Amino acid sequence: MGKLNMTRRAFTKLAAATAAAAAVVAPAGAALAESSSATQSKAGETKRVRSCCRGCGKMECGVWVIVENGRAIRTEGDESAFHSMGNHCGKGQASLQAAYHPDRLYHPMKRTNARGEDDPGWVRISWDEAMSTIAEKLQETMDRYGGESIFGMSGTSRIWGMFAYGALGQLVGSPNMCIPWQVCKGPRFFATALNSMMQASWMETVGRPKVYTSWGTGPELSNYDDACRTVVDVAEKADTHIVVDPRMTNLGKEADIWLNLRPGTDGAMAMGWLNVLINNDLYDDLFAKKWTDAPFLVCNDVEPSGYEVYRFTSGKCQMKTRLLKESDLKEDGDPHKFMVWDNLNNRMTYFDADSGLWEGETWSKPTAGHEGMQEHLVPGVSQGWVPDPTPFDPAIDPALYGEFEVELKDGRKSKVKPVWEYFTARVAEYTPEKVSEITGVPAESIERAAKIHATRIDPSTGYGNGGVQYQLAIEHSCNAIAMCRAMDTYIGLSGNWDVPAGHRGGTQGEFIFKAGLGAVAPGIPNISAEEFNKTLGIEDYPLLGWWQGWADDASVWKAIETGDPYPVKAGWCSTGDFMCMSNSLQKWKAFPNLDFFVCEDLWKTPTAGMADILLPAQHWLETDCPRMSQGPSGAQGATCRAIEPPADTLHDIEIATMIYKYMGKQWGPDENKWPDRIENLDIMLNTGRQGDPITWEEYKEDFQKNGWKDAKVVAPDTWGTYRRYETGMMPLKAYGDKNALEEFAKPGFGTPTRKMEIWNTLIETFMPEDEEDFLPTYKEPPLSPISDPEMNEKYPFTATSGRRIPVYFHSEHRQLPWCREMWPAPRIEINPQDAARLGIEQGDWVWIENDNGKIRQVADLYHGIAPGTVNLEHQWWFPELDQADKGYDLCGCNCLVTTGKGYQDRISGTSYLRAYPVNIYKATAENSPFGNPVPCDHNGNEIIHDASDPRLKEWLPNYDVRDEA
Amino acid sequence: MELQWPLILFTTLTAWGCGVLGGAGALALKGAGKKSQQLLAIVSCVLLALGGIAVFFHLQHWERIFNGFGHITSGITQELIAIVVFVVIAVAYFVMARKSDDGGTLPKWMAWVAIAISVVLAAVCAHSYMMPARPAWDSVLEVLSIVGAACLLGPATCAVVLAAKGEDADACGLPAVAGSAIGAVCTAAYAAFIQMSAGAFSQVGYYFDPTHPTKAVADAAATAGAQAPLLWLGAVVVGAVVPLAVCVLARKKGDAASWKLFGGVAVVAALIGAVCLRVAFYNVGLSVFMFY
Amino acid sequence: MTHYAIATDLNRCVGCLACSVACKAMNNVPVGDYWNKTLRVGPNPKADGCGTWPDVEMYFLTVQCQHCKDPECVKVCPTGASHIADDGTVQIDKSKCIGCQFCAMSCPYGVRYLNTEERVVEKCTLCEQRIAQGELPACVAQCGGRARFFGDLDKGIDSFEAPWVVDVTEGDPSYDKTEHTRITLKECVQEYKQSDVHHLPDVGNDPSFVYILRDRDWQGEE
Repeated sequence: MGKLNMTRRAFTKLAAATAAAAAVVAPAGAALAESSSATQSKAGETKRVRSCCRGCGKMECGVWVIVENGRAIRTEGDESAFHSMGNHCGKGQASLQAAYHPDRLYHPMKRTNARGEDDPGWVRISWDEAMSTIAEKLQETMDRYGGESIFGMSGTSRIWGMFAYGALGQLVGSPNMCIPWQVCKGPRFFATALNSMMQASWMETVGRPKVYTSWGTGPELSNYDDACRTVVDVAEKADTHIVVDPRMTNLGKEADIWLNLRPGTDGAMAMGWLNVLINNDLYDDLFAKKWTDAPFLVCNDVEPSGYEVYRFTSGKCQMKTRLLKESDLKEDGDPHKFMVWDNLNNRMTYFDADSGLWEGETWSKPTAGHEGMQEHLVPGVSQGWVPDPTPFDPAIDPALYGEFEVELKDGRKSKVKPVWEYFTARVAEYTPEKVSEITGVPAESIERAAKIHATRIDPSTGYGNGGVQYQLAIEHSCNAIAMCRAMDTYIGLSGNWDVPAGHRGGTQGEFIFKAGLGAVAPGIPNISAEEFNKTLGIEDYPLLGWWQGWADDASVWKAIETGDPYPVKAGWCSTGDFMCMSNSLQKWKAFPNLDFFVCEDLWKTPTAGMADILLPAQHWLETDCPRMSQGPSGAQGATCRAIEPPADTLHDIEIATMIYKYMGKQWGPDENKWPDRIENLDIMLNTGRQGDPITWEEYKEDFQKNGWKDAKVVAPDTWGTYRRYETGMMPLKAYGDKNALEEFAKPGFGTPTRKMEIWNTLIETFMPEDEEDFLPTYKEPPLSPISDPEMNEKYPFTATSGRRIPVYFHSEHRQLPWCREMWPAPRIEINPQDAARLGIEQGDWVWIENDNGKIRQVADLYHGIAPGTVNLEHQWWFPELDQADKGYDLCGCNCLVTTGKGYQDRISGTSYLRAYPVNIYKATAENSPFGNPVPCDHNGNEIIHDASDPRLKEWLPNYDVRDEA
Repeated sequence: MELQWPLILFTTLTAWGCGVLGGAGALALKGAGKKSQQLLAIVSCVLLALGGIAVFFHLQHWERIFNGFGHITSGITQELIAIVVFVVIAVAYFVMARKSDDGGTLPKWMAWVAIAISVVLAAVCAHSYMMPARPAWDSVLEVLSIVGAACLLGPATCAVVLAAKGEDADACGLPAVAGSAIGAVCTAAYAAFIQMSAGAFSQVGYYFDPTHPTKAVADAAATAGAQAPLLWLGAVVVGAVVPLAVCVLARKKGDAASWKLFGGVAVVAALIGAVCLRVAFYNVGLSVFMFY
Repeated sequence: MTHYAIATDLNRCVGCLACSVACKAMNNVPVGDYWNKTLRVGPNPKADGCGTWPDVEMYFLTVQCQHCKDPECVKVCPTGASHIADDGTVQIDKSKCIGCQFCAMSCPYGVRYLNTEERVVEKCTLCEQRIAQGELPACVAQCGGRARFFGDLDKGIDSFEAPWVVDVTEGDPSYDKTEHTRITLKECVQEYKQSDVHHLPDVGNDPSFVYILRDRDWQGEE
């Protein structure tokens, strides 16, 4: 079998040997076609394995892995992957260098020097020794301090590194999982779970919105939920392209409207959009009345009460709301019956949250509707079916406005008003002029953008112009949940909730996809609500007791440092890192207080530098896993093993199952308590399966041959149909992935009231003191120039951070030559006017400091950022440094983060990573350690900061190291 | 661009060699320096050979030069041809001098041929660098600056040789002074051109090359400006004014000892100047699109 | 005559660097050297704005060998190692290269460098080994914004091609099919005027590569 694809060198030789003309003739024809299903390639053979890139934790980009003589030589975008449009970004392409990297971990290791020393003294050990030691230490800790004294850390949705998302907690009985979900996507999920449906923050960009709005994000670099190829195309073809961002972004350079707001004021902007929506009567009146709690009546004269509702993950709790229920009016009244005033019949009526029906309503699945009417869909993406909005039957007209007098069951009279009255009063505060004052964006621009977004370009579709791609920037200034609730409410009221190009959550396919293998032990229940109630941070953030998605990171690290409120003594990090949120310096200082710490990774990261045992993980090229679009891109496929894993490396699922076995805990179902990796895949594929059972081998073969599947086609009810609140097919994550029909046999949302809760009964229940947050609201970042002028006098620049670097995924890929040579050093973006004032020139190292610490980054003179604002890069560490901490403290901006109550999101505890004050000045020989403005290791050796650094070449693939390992 | 030391040495040594053979030719025209003519022909070839050795360190695959310098219009091929012709002429010059009755008489045509090839080789070597891509190089003044270097170095060297050989070094006085004067003018003219070249580069305002975050912004005006000391102090004052002054002084005194001393000073100063000019030359050798 | 080149729609280019990495992955370019780079041009203040943020504009400029019609590098090459190939691209016959590096000096764009291992000069070949087989250059095939298009200048840039999404519903989404499913520049990009079409500065070399930039100032000469 010939080589289909010549290498450049082979071609050069060929061209030299033959006439150039002869070379041109040979086409890539059928004679050269070859099987792409097998992963083993014999000598001289080229194989192509269809797969799903995991070079980052985001978009499921379809790729081809080109394997020659058993080695992956290249990865390319798969043009038949409609959801990613053949995208394969720089980090994805470069990620194969990790598989063959000379510094990769190939064996379990144990520390022989004390924690804190520059050289941990790593010594190779067997898996048995590693697992026995871990099992023993974890058991010891559990016995002495309780399971909650063990904490977990994880990375982001890959197919490895997910152990701390749940399974570790199940193993030891601990709720104390520090996962970056808390600062990325989690707050949006938390907020939308409170408001309507978990993940409703996710917008179906592949559905091609008529107005494309990118808010606090840059998928063109991050491929966050949507591929670069998709967003570039969508932005270009949209009638209007709106960007909300303090900085000019890479794609934002093309925006029609740029709302260049002050960092951290997104929440005010969202309230402003709601104001424009409502003041201009652009909202969907029927949706407001029928599918939100807007017409429910707030009664300030009753004791909050309710009924038993589900916590999000485990157990139940008692709702306590002042929304008027039948039980407030009658002695034997039903607390599920929420009262509304019917303007049509001039009487009180109710919605029954138990039956899911309005008074007198009978329900059957709607049949009237039409195909989606989207333009520019790419081949492979189908339109889907959009049910028409159903009217009230029997006809009623729930009042949104007005004040009504009711007689309570104890005979008192009370004046009640619909939630909508309170909501619109709140929203009325945020006029475009007021929002302009807060955000710095001209009022006319705010009004224009919101009007363009909310005014339907083609009313015949029956739905809005598309969603708002709001992403993680809005989560980082202590107003995360309120902002996301405002956005979700805006999306609902503007006609963009679960409609084409609107917000519809994660893709539903033929099986239930767990974001990572190893995230949850499939055969046993999660920990109990009682165990979750021990979550660290629950005192400061009581709703964590409902959400149960994470422990507050800062609170866990405070407990590690101080032992308060109880000791945390051991930890397991599954390819996570401590630099992603809260304050890195505080954590590093607290680390030695741990008795035992395990790290599972590809590398000796700074986090690994504090571990007692290192476990070698597998690379995505070496792993098998079914895969579904996390977001609404609607594709179902797989990551397929393309090369053999080296040495002692194991996949996360194997490591997870193994430690369960060593600790005598059941992982899988009763009939197979410790399944192997393929059996684990079979379990995943057949969990919640729509259609016939399937094995991984069958699934994989089909995928190799037929490629990605359109989830709208394979899951017509749960994904191919829009407005699933009408059909009862919305996935309700709170109910074990059941949909509403399965759970209630009725339509609606997954909230306690089954409505989009503009007035939020869960916040009301768990945080009764915080009345302001019952409704969407905005609060200034706690250290903004307005909140804390004194601090800002000391530190006159506002720092934002987190803009994406095209070749890195957070802390990842710094040791890959193809990445590091494209972006060798961290950069601080400074407006050239500020730079000139401070005598800073492009390429100068700059000190950035505040009360928490100081770091250095290289000046990038950038007119795309406001004077007085700087943009910092996060999670830098330096694999080239031969010391345990790998220079995490030299450049990473999370050394500057303030933590503690008041300096985190008040509901989710999400870290304050953007919009805080710093001072900057030029780094010089005089003010820098070792007399060198360039950051150095403990011995004065510089970090790599230029592509010409010879150390980069030492990181090229080394097949010998891998083979000999 | 980075300093190309082998090329700096090659250019300087070649100019020197050219100057020496050209100087010898000038003497031959007057029938002067007969005892020195053979030696001067040898010196010119030795200098060229040293230049060749320097180039050896630049060329990465010198062995392939035998595979064919097929591209006749390329500057380097022309340089090679000019060098070969120069050597042939220098050898012929040497042979004819040796065969002459006094071992130092050359026909006038041969003297003119020697002068001509010297000018041509210096010009051809310099001309290779005239590239539209490098605005600070792309001038006939750059060519003249190398010819000027030859004029500065050659006659002064001849005068030293004559003085050493006990000949009437003053015979070389006029060529030395004239050569220095020509060299001074050429050097100053090219130095001025370099200083004014900044406007010829492409400007894109603010820009960023992600691969070199710690590099300052490419700034042609600043780069050209930064060369002022090298150009005016190094190349013009030390490299041209000093040789001119000492040659005038030596010519006033007229004795062999003066020529030995001042001629030597002139040569050393001119060498320093030539190197300064080439260093500045590479420093400002930015491409017109200087951001890659 | 054929004259292969790349046209880049700079309004679609978002500086994602996928082209640069793709080139590395395909062509074994030494670490620290580049066959293509993506420069950020700007943000520069707009002509009639306040002089800084937010009245600024920027674009990303992909720079590599421009495969000029009258290349300076070929003019200065003493051995004919640098030459114009039959397909109009500028190529280097490494076996003839003596490493004099005058071609590198003569290039207006600085895209040539000395490969210190092989001791010969290298630069973008436009993936000659791929285009000879009817495939697209790696930087075009993997372009993140689908901003790059490859084709024959003599046929006009509207005919230039980028990869396009294979319709899985038609069946057989094989590698071969994905390699040969294309979209033309005209089909893919927004309309442009002749005045939106730019080249890198021309000093007599007549660069072949084409850049489309709408709605803002092209910086630098052409």
